[in-house]
Amino acid sequence: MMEQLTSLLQSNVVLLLCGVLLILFAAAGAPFFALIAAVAMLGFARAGYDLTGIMVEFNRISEMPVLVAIPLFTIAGYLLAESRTPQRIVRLANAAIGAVPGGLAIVALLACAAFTALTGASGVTIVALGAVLLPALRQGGYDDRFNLGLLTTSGSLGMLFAPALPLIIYGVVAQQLNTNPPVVIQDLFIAGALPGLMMIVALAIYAFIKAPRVPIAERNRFSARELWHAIKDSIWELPLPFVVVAAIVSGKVAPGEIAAVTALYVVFVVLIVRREVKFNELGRVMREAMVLVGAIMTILGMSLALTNMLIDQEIPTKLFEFVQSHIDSKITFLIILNLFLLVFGMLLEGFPAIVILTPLLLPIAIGYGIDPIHFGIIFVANLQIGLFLPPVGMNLFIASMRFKVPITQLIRASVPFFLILLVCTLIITYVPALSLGLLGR
Amino acid sequence: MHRIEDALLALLATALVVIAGAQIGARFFIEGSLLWADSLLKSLVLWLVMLGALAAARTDSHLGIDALTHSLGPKGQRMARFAAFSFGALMSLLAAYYGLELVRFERESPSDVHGLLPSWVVLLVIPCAFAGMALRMAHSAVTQPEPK
Repeated sequence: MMEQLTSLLQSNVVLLLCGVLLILFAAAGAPFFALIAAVAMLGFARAGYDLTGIMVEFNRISEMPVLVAIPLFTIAGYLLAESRTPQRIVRLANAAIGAVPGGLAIVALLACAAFTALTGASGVTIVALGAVLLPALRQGGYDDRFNLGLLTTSGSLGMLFAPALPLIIYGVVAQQLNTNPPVVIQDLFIAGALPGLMMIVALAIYAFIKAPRVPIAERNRFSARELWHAIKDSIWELPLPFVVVAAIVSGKVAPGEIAAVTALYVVFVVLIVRREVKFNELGRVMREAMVLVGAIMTILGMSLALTNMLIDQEIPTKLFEFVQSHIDSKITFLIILNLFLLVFGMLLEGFPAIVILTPLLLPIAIGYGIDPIHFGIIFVANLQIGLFLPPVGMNLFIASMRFKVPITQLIRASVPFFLILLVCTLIITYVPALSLGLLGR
Repeated sequence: MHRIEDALLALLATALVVIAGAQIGARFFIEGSLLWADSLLKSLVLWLVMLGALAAARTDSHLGIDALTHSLGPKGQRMARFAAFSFGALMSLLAAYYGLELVRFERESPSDVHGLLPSWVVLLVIPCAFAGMALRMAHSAVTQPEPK
């Protein structure tokens, strides 16, 4: 029966039919892991391989040391989101820079970026921080349209900062392709710093311009006392980002180990020192965290099989030859890449986009002389704005549910923010030094 | 049943944090490494992923493109839901079948002999969880989503 299937799949008509069917299933909302598994199985069957190979590849998710980082960071992130850490971050940032014009908006940007970097899943940021920040911004006299746009956008800000999961996942998938130079996850962390910072600075300037012009007396004035209290209040959370950054820069600690220390520390602080999550709530929080881990990593596991199949069939090479015969300049390729990533980033919602598109696109990018580390940063930057790209960016739906505002209103509110980040992404794409400078490449 | 599942997830996740932490502690403070911990951590990751995936199937939380069906009418949405989840159930069933084959191969020639349990026992979670996911998705295919 297997031989018949193999010979049946040699026909292009049959393959085309399978492709159309899979696209229909995808549009109907079928789970990504099942779609990826189906493509991998078709590929294996067509080449006449035993389909057990799919599950051999799938099982490799338990054999890569770096992947232990994903459940650990997710646990840490979900616990932090359940605790009062978001409120404390906002209080501290507000005490430090709240008095500057636009300060409150900049607080929102920084708090969201820090939180997304630590939790990875950007939907969590809108849910956890939105409830704190929206009333604060309204009280600060900001225009509501500005507030909604800012918070919807901030939900994906910070994806370029270590130890955000998108960079780790890109690194894991890219490593399967044995690129030259190799993709080291710590390098991705360092490369993401300046591009991520540029996005925050650009949005901060916009916030400064749009800030309400109220007399200084009515704004909360800077108070050293409040700053001191805010620092004391967040004394347990404060060391965390510094430890993570120091560990990454030292280059001696693997991502899995950083994740282990982060998770252990967060469990200790939230459960034992602060007691903001009770032991009997731990089961629910852990379950929610593991649902996300299960959903992401089944996709990743199936995509390992898919990547293996694609490489075996030399599809990336063929795709590169095809693309190269139509596009001869690197610049044209990059423009098309940007458009492509924006649309697919919107449709595939971050993680799935990384695992599906990296094996196909990275070999092409390398063919055009793009550094694989730079490509990873371009990729994640595009996904970040794809996440709130109208009409179906995921964060628009999350923000709409969270703030109880119609999506159309959020779309209008997000336009200026989208344009600013689009310009940033173009700069990131066409100025490789921004990503690679700190690595000395 | 759901409570046992949740408790197991919480227990394994806590174990993951503690053991991963202990391993780093060992590396930095006694400059040794815990050989048993390495193998155990890998097994824990696999179990957490599979049980997490099973739990995700319970609440329809597996990631897919859900934005395109919003514009359909109630009947269209029901049909899309039926198609999407039947397909998910079918692929989960196939994954369970080939997962069982993997367990069989592993039993004949074990790849890891350092674990506390025989490696094929650890791998059993793959076919079991995928089979459970197939059942849950088949159930979701014919029922309406719970209001969130």
